[in-house]
Amino acid sequence: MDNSGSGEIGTYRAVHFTARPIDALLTDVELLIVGMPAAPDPADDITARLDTALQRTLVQLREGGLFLGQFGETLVLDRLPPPFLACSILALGMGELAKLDPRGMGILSEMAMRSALKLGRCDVGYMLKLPLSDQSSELITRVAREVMAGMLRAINAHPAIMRCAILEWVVDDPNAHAEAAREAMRRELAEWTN
Amino acid sequence: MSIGSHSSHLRTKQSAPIRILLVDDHVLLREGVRAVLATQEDMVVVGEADDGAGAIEEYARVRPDVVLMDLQMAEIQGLEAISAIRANDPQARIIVLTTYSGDARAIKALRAGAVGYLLKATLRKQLLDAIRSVHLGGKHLDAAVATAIATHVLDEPLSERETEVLTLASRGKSNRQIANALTLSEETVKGYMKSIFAKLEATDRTHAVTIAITRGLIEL
Repeated sequence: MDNSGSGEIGTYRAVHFTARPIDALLTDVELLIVGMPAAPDPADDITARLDTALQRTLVQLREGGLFLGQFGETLVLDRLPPPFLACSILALGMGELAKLDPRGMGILSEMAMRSALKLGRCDVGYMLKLPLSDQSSELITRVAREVMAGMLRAINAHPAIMRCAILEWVVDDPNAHAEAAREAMRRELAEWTN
Repeated sequence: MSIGSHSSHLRTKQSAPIRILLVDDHVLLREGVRAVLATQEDMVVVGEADDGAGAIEEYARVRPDVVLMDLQMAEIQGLEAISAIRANDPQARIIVLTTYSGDARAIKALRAGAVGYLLKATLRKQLLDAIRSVHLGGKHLDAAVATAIATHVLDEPLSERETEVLTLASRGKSNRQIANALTLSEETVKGYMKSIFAKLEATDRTHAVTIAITRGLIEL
């Protein structure tokens, strides 16, 4: 099937992947996964918008030393207040952004998928934005493949029992090379399924 | 970035059930939680304790993956038990399960090493989610609790002496009686009260006591 131009990525075991721009506040999912850098990032509009709605909870927890945003650190916030439509947020520590590379993005994606599977979530919004100074299509492709490979590794490692027949996993793709990223994820998925 | 250790850590925790230690001085609460956990294929209760001292002992004996810990117990209290357990095992994963919603108690618990803070009114699903989250190595908080914590996490804390002064004030003692009890001058007590008002943004001593009790800064 020709999926080019659509957000459809494909299905692996019981996880269905799509990619499209998603909104941290208005996305109605069971779990929203967002990246949280170890230091404030002026370009990080996702965390900023989200944290404004959370009354600066994440930023103040970081300043107070209770959630630092170190690489791989996670914090689940349950029972989100309005205006959030998501049930809960998983903040995923990205560490120092300058040190984050495609492989690191893959590992974070593996952790994100593992958490969602462990929590038995049925629909997930995944917003992990790598602030690339180099916006080349080649780098975006590498990141997208590592991200997909990380998620597939987590699925393979998870026991077969799942709460839902299909886990709907939506990857946020707001960047200018969205189609290149989608195509790279499709290619990675194809390699795992063949 | 300790990439290798992350991956292997996650893999080894995948298949075996999560081994849980329950610590609460109320038998009925323990029985209720045990009944909930018994319905989950990936969880097993491996030990119970009814006070902090028992928790420390039982933790050393059974080495659970996750501890559900009450704060208010006889003998050694929950906070002391959390610190003691974490001192012996810095990897210990402890979730506080308490009736107290005050941010000060939650901040103390998290600073002592707890990785989750849940209220006993918590829904069953939240409790199970929290156990699974912290077992994977993360932290888990109710969003409202997290916001309350965040609002005050950078506040200047009350000193030990200020806490003593305010605790006595909460028992109806006048400044003179507090001064006598703590062997201080009345002027010094007035100075402490002024500092307390400023830190808590309180208008008078009744207001200060109310704020302190609500936030868990003092115990009655």
